[in-house]
Amino acid sequence: MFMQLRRPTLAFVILLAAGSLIARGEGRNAKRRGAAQTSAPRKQKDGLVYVYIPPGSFQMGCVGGSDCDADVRKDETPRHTVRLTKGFWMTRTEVTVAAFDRFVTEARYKTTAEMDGWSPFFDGSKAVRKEGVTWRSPGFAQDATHPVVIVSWYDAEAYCAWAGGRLPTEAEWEYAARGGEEGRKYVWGDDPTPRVKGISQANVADESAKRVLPNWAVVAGYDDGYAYTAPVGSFPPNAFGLCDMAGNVAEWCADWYDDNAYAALSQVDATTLPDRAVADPHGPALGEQRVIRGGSWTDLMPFLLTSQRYWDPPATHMPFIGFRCVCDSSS
Amino acid sequence: MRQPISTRTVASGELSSWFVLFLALAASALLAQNPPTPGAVRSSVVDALDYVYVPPGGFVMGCVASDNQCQNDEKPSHHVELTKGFWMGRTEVTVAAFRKFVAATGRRTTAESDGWSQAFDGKNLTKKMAVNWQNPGFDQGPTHPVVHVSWYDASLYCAWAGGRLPTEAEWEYAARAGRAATKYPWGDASSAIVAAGRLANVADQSLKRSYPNLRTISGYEDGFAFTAPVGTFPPNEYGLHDMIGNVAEWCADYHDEKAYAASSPQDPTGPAVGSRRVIRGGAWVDDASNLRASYRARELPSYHDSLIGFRCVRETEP
Repeated sequence: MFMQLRRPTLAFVILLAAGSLIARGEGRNAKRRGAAQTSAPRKQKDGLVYVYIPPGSFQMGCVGGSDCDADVRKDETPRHTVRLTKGFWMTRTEVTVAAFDRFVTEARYKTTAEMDGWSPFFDGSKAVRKEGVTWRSPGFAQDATHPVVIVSWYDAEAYCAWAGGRLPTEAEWEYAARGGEEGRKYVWGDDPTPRVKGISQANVADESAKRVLPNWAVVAGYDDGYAYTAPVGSFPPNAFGLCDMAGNVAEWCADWYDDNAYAALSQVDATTLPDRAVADPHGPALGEQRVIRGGSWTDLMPFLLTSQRYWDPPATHMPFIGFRCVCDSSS
Repeated sequence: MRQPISTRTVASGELSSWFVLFLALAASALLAQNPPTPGAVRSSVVDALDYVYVPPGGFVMGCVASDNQCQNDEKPSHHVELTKGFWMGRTEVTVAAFRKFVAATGRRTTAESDGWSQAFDGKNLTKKMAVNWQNPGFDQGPTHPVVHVSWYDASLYCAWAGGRLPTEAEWEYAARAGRAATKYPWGDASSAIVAAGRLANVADQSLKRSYPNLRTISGYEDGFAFTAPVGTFPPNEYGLHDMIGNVAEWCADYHDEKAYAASSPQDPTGPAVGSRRVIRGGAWVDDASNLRASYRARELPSYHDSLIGFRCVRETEP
């Protein structure tokens, strides 16, 4: 049975070729549709702009080269083809303090950190548990346009449900972050720091951060102008029109984290699909840590790679973790 | 010009403060005439559960001197004074009451968000998909105590019901109910329950029929393998049911191994910062040590399983 599947007949090969052509065409058509009325940006009840992300296929995982051999990147390999069969809408930016405030007021919501009574706070060299640190008072100045922080995965899930959506799957997140541009290490390309033609591309651990946290390791010589979080959309968007997919705050995804998730997929699902693509993966059914993507204002370059996977228990709340939501096109 | 006005103001101010004092005295006299009677029961219009008045008082909290099963975190035993009376859930929060809470608030429980819960399989607690308060993995009617609820779920329920989770001190005070300090409500040996009668839903022969390899109290039959309808067993001296057994109960406090050494002698609330929340009272799978009134279990506040539920306290009369 297994051998039969692994040895494709001629008809099977034709089917495979046709399938991949359709898949590629799908992506192109979807991009054209991106300009049409039906896929114009829209607003949900949270007042944020959601942009249309067309269906399509992409290569998920570590982009290649010696980077991927490192033990810490084993969870990003093997790189594999993922097909997202449905388009979806994603917040153009990370969820802001203003939007979260609206949610908390309307839903009379109490965050995990508010119930815990404390949250980790950066004292300049490490995170210490501090009483009274919450999304309203994260330990540094934030106005209404900054991304909300000190929110757990549960808080993020509840917000997205309230807004009529959900958290993105890890695959949706990476697909959206790559913006249809294959084989790039970072959201902005392969430039080793977040600066392209003199323009800052992301809010990361930089010289501004070092001025207030002198012991912090930063990207030497890079100054994005923000020590902590930056107002959302302060940096150039990617090809899908999404801002801050790298840096500012790291973002909760829907999936349970499993360091072996990609390897497991390529062993099981991929061999059973004609074009070896994995359709709409959503991670393991059980787990203890949820996936976090995109790096933050606290991170150095290795954590800003588009394939970089991070994780924490869902009750975790940190000054560098926020989220964005997606809506299904049917909703 | 201003002097007379000012004088008049002072005079009327004195008058009104005497009046306020009179009112305060009258009010306190009225209140003093009607302190709630210990054991008084009121039903809450919010969750439709009964709350029992527990009077203020002092007790010795922690390890009983004769108890050789005490863990370090139960020591030193120390005197605690609870300066205010409180109203405590006569029973554990039921499935029916929790359903009201969910309907009113739209709360999605932690277990539902996680997509799994820790279910008891006869030996261990293991993650099982789609197990939650509505699908606990064994039969539960609306009068059974709700399980698969996290500390967050419990805490939000109590706030909705106009109260809060009991502090660990309130819980142990209420569980001891002024009795002589014994390890178990029925004496110093867990097996003494056999002679004492059907007093609690613990690991008994009904449960052993479901799980033959489980350690149970031999000769004890409480009639329920898993959870029992709340209030099936006799109440304690304060009128509270199932303080020991049925389901273990979340308390408000963070657990700290050394909390008792630094505990406030009056109305202690535990450490301000911590990782795990205290769970008290043992459950339907426990046969001995975990059923002791001083035993302190703890889990992360996001934890949920088949054994843990809760009850609330109110500082005001329902």
